[in-house]
Amino acid sequence: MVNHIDRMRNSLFAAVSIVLILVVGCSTVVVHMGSPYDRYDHNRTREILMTATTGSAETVTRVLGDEVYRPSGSEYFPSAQYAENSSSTDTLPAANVVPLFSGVSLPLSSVPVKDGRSDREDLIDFLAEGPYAQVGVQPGETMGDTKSVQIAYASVLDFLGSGEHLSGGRAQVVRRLSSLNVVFADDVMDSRYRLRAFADVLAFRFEKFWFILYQLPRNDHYSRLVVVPERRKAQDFPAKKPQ
Amino acid sequence: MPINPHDEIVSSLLEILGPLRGEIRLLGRVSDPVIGNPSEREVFFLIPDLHILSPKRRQRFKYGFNHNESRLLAGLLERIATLRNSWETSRNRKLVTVQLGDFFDLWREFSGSAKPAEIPDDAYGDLRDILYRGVDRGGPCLKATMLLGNHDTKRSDPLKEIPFRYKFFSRPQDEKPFLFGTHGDAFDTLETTLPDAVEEFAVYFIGTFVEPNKYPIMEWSRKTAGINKSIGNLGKAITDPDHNLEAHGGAIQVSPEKSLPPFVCQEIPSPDDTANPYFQKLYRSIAIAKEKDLPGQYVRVVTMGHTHKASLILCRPIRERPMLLMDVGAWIENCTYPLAESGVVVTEPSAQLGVIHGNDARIYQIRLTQAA
Repeated sequence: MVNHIDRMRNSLFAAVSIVLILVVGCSTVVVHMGSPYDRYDHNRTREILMTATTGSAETVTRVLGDEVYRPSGSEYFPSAQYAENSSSTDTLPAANVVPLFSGVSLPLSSVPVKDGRSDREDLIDFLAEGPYAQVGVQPGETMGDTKSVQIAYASVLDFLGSGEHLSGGRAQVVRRLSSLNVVFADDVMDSRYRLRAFADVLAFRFEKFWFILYQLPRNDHYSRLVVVPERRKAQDFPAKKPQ
Repeated sequence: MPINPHDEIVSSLLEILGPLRGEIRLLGRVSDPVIGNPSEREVFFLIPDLHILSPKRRQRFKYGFNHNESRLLAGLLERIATLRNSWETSRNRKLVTVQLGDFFDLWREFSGSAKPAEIPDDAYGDLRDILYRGVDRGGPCLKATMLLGNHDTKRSDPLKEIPFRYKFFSRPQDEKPFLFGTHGDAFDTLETTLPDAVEEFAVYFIGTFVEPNKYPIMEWSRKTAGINKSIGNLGKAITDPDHNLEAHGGAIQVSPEKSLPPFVCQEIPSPDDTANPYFQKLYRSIAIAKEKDLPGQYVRVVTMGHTHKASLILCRPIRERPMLLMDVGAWIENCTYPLAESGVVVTEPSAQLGVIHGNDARIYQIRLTQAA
């Protein structure tokens, strides 16, 4: 009788294990790019240069604010209308002309920019605000613990700052990254571009963020970076402390 | 004498309060270099726990955000947003607004998992707009730093529309922030040991049986007395419903340019000389930041919510670093304190705000003297 129960128990255990292996083994890790507020794709402290109005030769420089991406548009960029009369009943334009950032240049620069932070410092500032802060367009008026983040993410930041590490093709870069305790994604859902525009896109997670590397055709290294948060359980008591 | 930012804030608030027969009372103040703020540019405007609920849920719990009907807080914040814009235009000041967590009470809002789509767009739409949503809708907005409180999540999921932070530091020029803010739950033994699901269950199902202004200060145990999520010791909660604030010398009525005493606070010689358990834990936490050489080591002022009991505690130990704990209170439940001019003790809805400019930190109670 006891043997019979043991056999049943073992069979049940084996069946559950097989199901778990199948479920876990078949799951695909997909990174979704997120809104402009969630994704870090440019140094937020750098001024950008553009024409004042459509067709104008006059140029202006400005640092972007969150207002730029609201549905009604902003004073900073032109709106587009349908050529024929619009039948819309609300006040929204057909489209807003807003910057679509192509990603932070790699290797990640530590050189400070005029009136701003280096790309590395600004990325650290973004990471320190945490995965729920929505500060991809404009930095917050307060800040997180940049020093702790600098320490925690040092290995990845150093990797991103090394042209050598980012070269040599996907297999070599994956091999180098594997020593940093990262998780690789199986797929990327990029809300900005068709991925076929790139020779390769490689995404890996470290701590609370995904880092997505882009390689252009005929380039021998990954040359652009986008960072998006990984949102799991929101409550995180250690993250609420000053140390 | 030039009007200072504190006076400008007070003037702005009184513009809204005047027609409502309202006034501002000083619950706490420290005006001293001990605060350690090297900048005169930023004005920190601190909003404590609100615990807002959609109207349907509010009716069920008979509990919640004070001065709801008069839209008092939204009116005050709209006026402050105008002041913020004028400062931005003149480029001489910067208003930095922080909501210290427990903004939307998801524990009470949803019995099961959170369903944000069920919250009507206009449920406290004015507060959501003025604090963080207006920027997307083309309206006035304070672009507040919103801290994640324990009630801001349901089964660990927060409302996606809110840009939450776990904590904040002031942005210094020299990487030495004088100010740190956290909701406070990370230093609450109860919060960090009991699973969320148990606490949420208790609040949702037992919270409705308790009178609204008494429920939150029930005790789980002697150790956690005063914490707002307990289900034990109902009797004491019912007989002791209000937060008794230590307004030293009575709460002075505040008006622009009125002379105020520089110290209205509890002063302690060492961090162990207070019954406030948060003070000791925060002080220790900053000591750890120093051991790790982190920015937290430079913090002189810690601001928090969570307890719903406003207090200002200044510790100036000999040969050790000082710390000011600024618990900004709440806009739920009641508070009790004496008026400075008469000594009369009043009990009224908690409605507190904190303001820091330069080396002057204050906690105000907003009161309506008669029903408007």
